[in-house]
Amino acid sequence: MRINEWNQRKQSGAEINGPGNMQGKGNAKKLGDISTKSCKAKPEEDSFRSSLQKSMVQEEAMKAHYRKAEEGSRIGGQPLRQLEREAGPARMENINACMERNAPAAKEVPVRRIPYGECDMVEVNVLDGYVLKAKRDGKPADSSGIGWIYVEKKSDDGEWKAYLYDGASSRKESGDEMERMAYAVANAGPKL
Amino acid sequence: MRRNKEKEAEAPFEKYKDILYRIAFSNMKSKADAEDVVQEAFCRYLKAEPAFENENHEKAWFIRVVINICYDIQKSAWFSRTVAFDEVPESEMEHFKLPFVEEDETLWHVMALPTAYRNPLYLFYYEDYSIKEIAQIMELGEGTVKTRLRRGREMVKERILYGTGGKDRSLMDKASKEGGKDAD
Repeated sequence: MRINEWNQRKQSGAEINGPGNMQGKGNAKKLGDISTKSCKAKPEEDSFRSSLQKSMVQEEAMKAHYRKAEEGSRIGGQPLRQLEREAGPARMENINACMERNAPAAKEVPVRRIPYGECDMVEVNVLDGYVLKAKRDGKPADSSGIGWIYVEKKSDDGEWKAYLYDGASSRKESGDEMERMAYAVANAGPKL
Repeated sequence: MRRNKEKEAEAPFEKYKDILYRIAFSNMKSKADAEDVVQEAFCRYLKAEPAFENENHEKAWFIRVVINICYDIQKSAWFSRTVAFDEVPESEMEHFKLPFVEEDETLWHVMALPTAYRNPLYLFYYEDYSIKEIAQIMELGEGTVKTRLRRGREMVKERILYGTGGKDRSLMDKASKEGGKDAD
């Protein structure tokens, strides 16, 4: 082989190897040959993006949930920790007792079968086949004057149910008619 | 002798006159008729001189007698020919007051039901009787009382939805044939 032939071969090999004289394949594409379509995200990248979005949404939801929970534990609009710092241990006992009282909204109790005459409120619902009887139960637990409300349900299938509701935490918009009754009695003032 | 008997009847009369009047009114739909029925019930009490085990037994006896007297009057030839027996006339509504429950439209629909359904529904919802007590008063099985309560409720619903004509009328006629006197 002549020296100039050898030089030509080496030069063409260098072109193929590319910059830095790295070993490369002979059929490798040049930079200019790469189409713009290849910039589109691959399916793996797509799924990664969507999972990232999902996790961000979840994170936001969690943050909102914690924020709501923290607001729920506020008394008088102040965060619980702040109250704890300001009130000290003695006052915190009262606050905790108050929170504990508010926690359980209802508990099932044995049916007493109170007559209409002893009830604070009676609701007759012929179309749905039941009668609700409610009566304030015992002395009020706090200065709000709302204590426990005893609610009894008599159905036309022979079923009897009775619950004690915490008048202060019973809800007007509850889906349960017995709880709504407890709310009505709690907010009705003195005996009807 | 008669004076002594009358005095004996005074105590139960004072105790039960209101509830007996209400039950009689729910059946007769008229103040005058209801008062006559209550009076007749106490006449029967004085005549029969029944012995009662307890106060509940006594009350149940009076209620049963009142219901039976109403039924006897309603099935009489004169009554069935002369009185259009269905709804409580508006002029009579003012003579009926429930002590603990507010009167509403449903009450008048209950009173317009056939006897077999009217009495269980009225006693259950407006006089606070249990199914067991109603069964004892009307001498029926508890299952029968439950069935009548359910059917009666359906009839009231239909009365409210469709009024007193059409579909409801046929249901009422069917019910009347099924259950006549309460103690059946």
